Amino acid sequence: MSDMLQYLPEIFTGTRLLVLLVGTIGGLILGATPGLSPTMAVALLVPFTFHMDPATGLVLLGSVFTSTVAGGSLAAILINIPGAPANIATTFDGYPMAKKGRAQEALYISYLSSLIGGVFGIIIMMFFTPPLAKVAMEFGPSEMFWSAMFGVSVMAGLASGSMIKGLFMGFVGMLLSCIGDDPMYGVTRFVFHESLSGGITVIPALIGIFAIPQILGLVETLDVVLEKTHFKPERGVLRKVIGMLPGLSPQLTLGSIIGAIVGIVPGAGGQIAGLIAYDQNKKFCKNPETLGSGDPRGVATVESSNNAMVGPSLIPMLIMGIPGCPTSAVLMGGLLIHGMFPGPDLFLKHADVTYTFFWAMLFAQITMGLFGLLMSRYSYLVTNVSSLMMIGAVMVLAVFGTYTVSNNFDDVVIMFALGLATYFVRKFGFSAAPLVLGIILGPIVETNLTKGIMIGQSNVGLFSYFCTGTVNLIIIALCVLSVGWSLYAEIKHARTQRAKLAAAATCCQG
Amino acid sequence: MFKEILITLAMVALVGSFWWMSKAVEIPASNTFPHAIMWVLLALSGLQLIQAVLMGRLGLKHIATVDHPAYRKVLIIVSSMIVYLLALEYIGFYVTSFLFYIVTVLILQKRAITARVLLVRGGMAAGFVAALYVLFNIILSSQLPAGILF
Repeated sequence: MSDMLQYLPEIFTGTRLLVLLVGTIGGLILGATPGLSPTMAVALLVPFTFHMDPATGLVLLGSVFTSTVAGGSLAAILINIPGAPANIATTFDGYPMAKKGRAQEALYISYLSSLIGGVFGIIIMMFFTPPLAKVAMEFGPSEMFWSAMFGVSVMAGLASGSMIKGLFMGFVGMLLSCIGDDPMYGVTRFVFHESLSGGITVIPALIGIFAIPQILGLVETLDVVLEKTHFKPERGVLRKVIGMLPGLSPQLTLGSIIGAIVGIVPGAGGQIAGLIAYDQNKKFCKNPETLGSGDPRGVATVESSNNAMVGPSLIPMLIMGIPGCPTSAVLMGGLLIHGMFPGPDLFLKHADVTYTFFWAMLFAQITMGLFGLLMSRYSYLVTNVSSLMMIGAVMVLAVFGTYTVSNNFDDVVIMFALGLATYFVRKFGFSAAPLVLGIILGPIVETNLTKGIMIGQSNVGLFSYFCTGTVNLIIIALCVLSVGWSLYAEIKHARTQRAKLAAAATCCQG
Repeated sequence: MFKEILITLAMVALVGSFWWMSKAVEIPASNTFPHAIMWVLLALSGLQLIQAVLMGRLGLKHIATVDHPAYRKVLIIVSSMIVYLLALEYIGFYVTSFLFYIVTVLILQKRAITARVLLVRGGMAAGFVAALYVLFNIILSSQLPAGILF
């Protein structure tokens, strides 16, 4: 803790405070804008950090990540479209509240719950990451290999409806990461065209995979008419909402704890956190029948949980290089472009950057809460932003972001090709997150696998090296558990569908 | 079922092309990891096909369906993106970005293209590009494709 306190003054420089403020306000606006996901927003900003020192760059990315998740609730409440996947469950009660003329109340509850849950999650991250990094320091190649595989297996299972498709995208990402120079032997491989000689680097991949499908998605939905609710700001609502907080404390506690637990599981993310918290609240609260019809408790539970997820979702990324959610995968790209590799080194060699980032995340949560409350009277204006304007803007920013990292036009072509390919495979039910994770984790898996093979062959044998030892066995068990759980969920879903079809057929015959 | 066969064939083609390229790798040990990934992908392709057959027999549909996608608009925008990228290096970032922005808006908007609409959209595109110039050139001092114009 004393190490951490030592770096507290680092955040109070003019530039970093300005970046924090701009990142938070910009993140709130980006999060609230329908059609722009937090992951894409952070991905587009990563190249901008290239021009900053690492700590300031991470302050920008961290503040945008924090506030886009909270900002996403605005679109969920006012137009029934989640600004981010994490806000899906916010629509359950937020939109009905807005339809009843209580939009401002729902927004205030959302921002205050985000603030409480977010601060809780960041404190968990600040306290648990340094000791866990010490544990990770003991990890050898075999443990690192299995940890990375665990990340892929979890994200593959949760990111798409089909386990096989999720795993397939993860492994395709790993195969694409093999293009270019071998990280161990330095041999050039799989260069199908000379533009691929530098390999597929993280930034073009991140921007292409998250931005291009989003642009084309916006084109598809241009004709969709949004059902906007009437929003008329009134005085005294904030005081009323603050008065409601003691009554909402069970939901805020439940949401924060569930969000923090789900966040630490690699691959889970805010969407899962919000849905689980909402479901658990329904089981344990009094009068659950009012949930889903505009109950403030629903908004408080979901918003506290999806923001509590933010801090802990960074823990596996910071200590082992395994992103907890797609946005933390993008943040990892931000670390990599500054030559910082996740793991214990972050706390040994780059303690100044890491701890400044921690404080920035904490202050970003507080700033987000305050600005969210201040801006919510006018923030409905964001829902009027035309998708038409954003299509061109996002494409131009994607080109700039990709080109500026290494001034190489080939990267722009790779970015566009990957984005287009992702757009098409998404039509077949594949999701993008495992692909990105595969590209990021590929070199980590390969390096540790190759090192492990060398160590195993010269010592105890491959099987003993990779498949024995307590930590190895625990992580292997977790991999099996995550794959097994996803398969079980899929089979259960298929059975439910089958029963519904049978019931419909019986009904038709009757 | 046709879609699943298509996916499986695409997967096999992808793996096949990587396998063929791996023959040119000088150090065989460098192929260990990619080959392992390729075997896993082939196994997953097989499983995908089996799953599709089983789902088909059960009368269930697993593939995500898209509700009336605006394919024509998507195709036009993808084409304009390709033209934008091709022109970028030769004409220059700012001029092509201005043109891409205005053309995209004009293609996608529902309103008729009048002189007033052109003026408004052109003004917005010019404002956007000017903001980009201030941000990229003056604040961030970034290098961008200059081309023959700007």
